[in-house]
Amino acid sequence: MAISKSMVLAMLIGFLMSPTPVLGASVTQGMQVAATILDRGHCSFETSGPYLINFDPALDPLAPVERNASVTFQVRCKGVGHHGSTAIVDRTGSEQLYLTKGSDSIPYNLNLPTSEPVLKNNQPVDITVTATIAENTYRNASPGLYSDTITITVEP
Amino acid sequence: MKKILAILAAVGLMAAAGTAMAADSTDLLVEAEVLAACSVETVDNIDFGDLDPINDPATTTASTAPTGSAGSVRVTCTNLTSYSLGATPASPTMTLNGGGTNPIAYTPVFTAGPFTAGTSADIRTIDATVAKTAYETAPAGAYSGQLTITVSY
Repeated sequence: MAISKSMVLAMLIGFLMSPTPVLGASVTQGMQVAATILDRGHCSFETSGPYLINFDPALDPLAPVERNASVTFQVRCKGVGHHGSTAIVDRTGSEQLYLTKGSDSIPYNLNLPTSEPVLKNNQPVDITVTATIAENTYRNASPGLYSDTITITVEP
Repeated sequence: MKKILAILAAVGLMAAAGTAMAADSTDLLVEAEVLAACSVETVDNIDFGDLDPINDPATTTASTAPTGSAGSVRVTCTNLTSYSLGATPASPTMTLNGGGTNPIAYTPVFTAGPFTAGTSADIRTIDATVAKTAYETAPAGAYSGQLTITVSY
């Protein structure tokens, strides 16, 4: 049987137009992806420590007065929603703090702003920490440099 | 497949929640320097009492003179501070009151130290001697002078 050119052309067109042959099976299912950024956010110190509170000028045991010294640093909170958040600065432990020089010590108190309002997302917030040495706590202190290092934490 | 995706989604939410609960920490250094300091004040002045150019011994000491007394100062220093005493002028004199004349030389006597301060003030005696030759020709009257005690630390 003779095959005409028109028949060959028709077969070629038919092959090209036919669906792709099915070699396996698959199914698809769309799904939604969602996330909620918590309103409290996450706060971190803007610059790495340590931060320094330095009592300057030096303490004079012969003329003792209450002394205060402070440091201001910044924390940045991300993920803060429309209602704002609160940055909590804290330190571990609640025991009396001491500046020490060898076996000598001077007690002091630390005033931490335990709840600093954070109104805007991803904006630096100033935090001021103040240390206080009471008047009658260093009358008998020997001369020299006293120091203490504590760890402070900002939450959330 | 659905289970795997659901598990992955749950793990992602847990990780997000974990991040939100995290805290950041840093060190806070607190420093203070305590001065080494001293102060001195007069407790008692030196008084030779009555000097007799005729009958006095060759040397009169204020603390042992019949009508005299040694002086003293109160020294207060920061605890454990080392200090020493000094006196000026090097050759002090007393002069006749009202005129400032007829100087009578005397010699301060005291222990210079060094001392180590404690937690309370120290009383240091400042005595003095005067030679009879310094006043045997002096006109009668009341004499006085100024001695400055210095605490070095």
